[in-house]
Amino acid sequence: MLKRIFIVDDDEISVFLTESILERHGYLNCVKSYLDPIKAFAEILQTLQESSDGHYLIFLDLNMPIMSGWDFLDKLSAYEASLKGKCHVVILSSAVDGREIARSSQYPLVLNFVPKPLDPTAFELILETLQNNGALPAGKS
Amino acid sequence: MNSPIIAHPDFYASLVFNSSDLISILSPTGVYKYVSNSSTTILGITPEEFIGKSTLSFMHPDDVPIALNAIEQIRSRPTIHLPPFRFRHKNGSWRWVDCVVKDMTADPNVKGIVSNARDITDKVEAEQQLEMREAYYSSLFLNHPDAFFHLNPEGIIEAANQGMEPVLGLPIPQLVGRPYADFLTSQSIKAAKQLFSQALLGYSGTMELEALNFEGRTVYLSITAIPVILNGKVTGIHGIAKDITQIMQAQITIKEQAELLSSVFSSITEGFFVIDKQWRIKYANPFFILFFGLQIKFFKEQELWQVAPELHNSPFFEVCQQAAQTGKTVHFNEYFPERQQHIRFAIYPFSGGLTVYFDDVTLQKKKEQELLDLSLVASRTTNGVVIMNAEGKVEWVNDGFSRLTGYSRQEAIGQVPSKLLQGPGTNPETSARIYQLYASQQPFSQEVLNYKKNGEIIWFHIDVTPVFNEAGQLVKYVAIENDITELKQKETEMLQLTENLLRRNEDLQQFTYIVSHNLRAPVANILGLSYLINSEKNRDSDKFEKALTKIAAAANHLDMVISDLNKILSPLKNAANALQEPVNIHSIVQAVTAGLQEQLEAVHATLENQLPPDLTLTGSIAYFYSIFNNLITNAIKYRNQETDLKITISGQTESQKITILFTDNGMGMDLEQVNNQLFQLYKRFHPGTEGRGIGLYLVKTQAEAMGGRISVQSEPGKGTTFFLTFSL
Repeated sequence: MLKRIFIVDDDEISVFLTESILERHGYLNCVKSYLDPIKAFAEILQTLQESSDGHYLIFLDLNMPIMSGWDFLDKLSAYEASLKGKCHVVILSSAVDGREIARSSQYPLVLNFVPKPLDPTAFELILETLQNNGALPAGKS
Repeated sequence: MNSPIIAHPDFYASLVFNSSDLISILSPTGVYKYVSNSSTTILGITPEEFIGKSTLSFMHPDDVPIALNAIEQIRSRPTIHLPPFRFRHKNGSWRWVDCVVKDMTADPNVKGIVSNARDITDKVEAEQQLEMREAYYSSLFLNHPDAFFHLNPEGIIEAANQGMEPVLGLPIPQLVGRPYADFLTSQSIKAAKQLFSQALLGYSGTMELEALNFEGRTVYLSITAIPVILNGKVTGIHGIAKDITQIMQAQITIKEQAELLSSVFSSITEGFFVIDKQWRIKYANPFFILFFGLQIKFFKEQELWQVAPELHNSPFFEVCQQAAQTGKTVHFNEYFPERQQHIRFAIYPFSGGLTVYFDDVTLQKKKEQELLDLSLVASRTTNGVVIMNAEGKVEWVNDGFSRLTGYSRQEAIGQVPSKLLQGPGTNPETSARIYQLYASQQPFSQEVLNYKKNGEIIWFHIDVTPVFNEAGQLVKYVAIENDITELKQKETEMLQLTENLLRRNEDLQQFTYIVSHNLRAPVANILGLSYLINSEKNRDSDKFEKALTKIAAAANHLDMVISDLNKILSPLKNAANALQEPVNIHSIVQAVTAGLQEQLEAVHATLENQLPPDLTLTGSIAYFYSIFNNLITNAIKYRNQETDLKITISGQTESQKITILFTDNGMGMDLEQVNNQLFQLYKRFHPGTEGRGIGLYLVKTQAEAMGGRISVQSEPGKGTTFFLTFSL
């Protein structure tokens, strides 16, 4: 059961598009979007640490001012042990670069690397992966 | 006597008459009454001539007292034997007479004094001669100042003169009666016996013998033995003794000194010989013998030229002659081509000839020559050559060193090269390493930045070799200094170039990455929005409307990115040959300020241009304009909302460089958060403000294109200062 979906992206249009896709799949009520990555990190971490069960999905943009998506991941890795299994990060990047995909696979919390814009097929694939991991009950999509 | 013939008186008369004795009869006063015929034979005077004359008138006046004495005594004594006296011969000579008188006055037949005289002249003269000889002998023997002694055939000392006393220090009575052997040392007895037996055979001889004096000390005597021959038979031996102790001691001393000298000369490692004025070798030491390959037996007393012909017809001969003439000592060297040797001679003339010392100095000469060659090489080489002592202080430098560094030899001597040449630009690690390498006493090479006397930089490649003596002690360092300044400069340029290329490459990679993200971001948005529009069935919905608005924004964004790219690519394109024109920076700042006047006034900003009015740099007007435009725009964008914006632009000049300080009192940044990404393309650090993250990227790229550098200091809430450094 997905308890919450976070969007961390400084591009307003991109956030609007991601939210539209999530809305179509009926997840809008549990979506929380951030344009400021620093604020996002603080709040998301607090939410995750206070929660004892359920699964959380984070759509993370890479190209952001001050705190890039990579900085975000590096900071999150410090809490990796307690987050593993309940926090799933999907990188949502405007450009698809082989080196970046390889780099993202080094982070155990990263579930997938998806190019912008997020489309329904890609989101369904994400949900499928979550089902396979046991994070979601099968057949929910 | 009582025979019949005696009876007749004529018998007696005839006897008297013919006797060879002179028989005469005298009166008691000495007047002749009768004289026998023999007077004519003995004295040449006839008997008749005597009669009536006094006997005294025929006698030698000196002997008259003898006659007077006899006349006086004859009355009391019947017979008197007179001592011999002299009687006159008819020819005037004197004859010695032995005479007996008898008083026969009472005899009637005689009636007078009978005198019986005999001519003893021959006997008396012989006796007198003998006495004279004895006197001579005894005078010679006893009074001679030399020491004389006499031995009998048994070798016993029978007599010794006064001269013998001082010889042994013994009184003569202690010598006489003892065999000669008692006084000799046991070593001398055998020789003495030979001398003695030779003398017994009638041969004289002389020998040097050792005797013992009264103190038991050895005295050296020269003994001459002379046989005394009587009737062809040796009856004794005369000896003459001479004390030659002092002579012998002198000889011993001379001999000892000669031996000492000889051993000294033999031990001299130089060659040594003495020649007389006829060039004959009087002495030569073993080195000489060895040097000329001689057999020891054959050189003494030979002429030098026979023994060592190579010395003849050579400068040596001439110098010897010269030394002999002037009497002055001469030192000189001569090369002997056949031997391939350099010989050094020292010739000392003396009264009897020349003393010559000589030595093979070939090696020494060779070393001298080598040194000369080396010093020639060292002084002519274009490299710097430095010779240091064991403390590393300069003993000598070549002309190359002076040419390279500007320090003369006099200035360099006594200095430590590292201290003299190294300066503020020398890497302290290199300096320390050189110090350690010197201390390690191992050969080493090192590149080091040095300074000339005039302050110019010179790069040296130094090769240092320590030099040790035979005992393995460090005595010198030799350093070769090679000027590699040009090489180093090229190396530095190359390094700079590589660095630039690397940075540019990095920039390009970054650029590509950023561009791909930023260019794709609006495209992705447009794609997403158009999908949204296409899939939205209700065209009147709020969502549809929103999507349409947003698609226009996304397209604008895309357009902006493309126009940014144009700006970005222009400095990159021109970086290789950025415009080289003089740009007055003060005026540029004024122009930019004027262009932004409206915006500045809108936020109540003040700008102070403190740059020197004549500050002119080489570069591109457009770039400088863009730089200040971006900085001021940024300052306005990120101003502090609580205070009015204040911008100060000033300059600091330092050694061919100027740093322009651009200071504002704006929001500032946490540089730790910013990390080193401030000047990167599309990096934004202020959420909530408009900005694409291109301004500072352009500032940096353009400044670097003109050979400048940019750095930043900032504190959140207080403000930011950018430092732009350019070469003047």
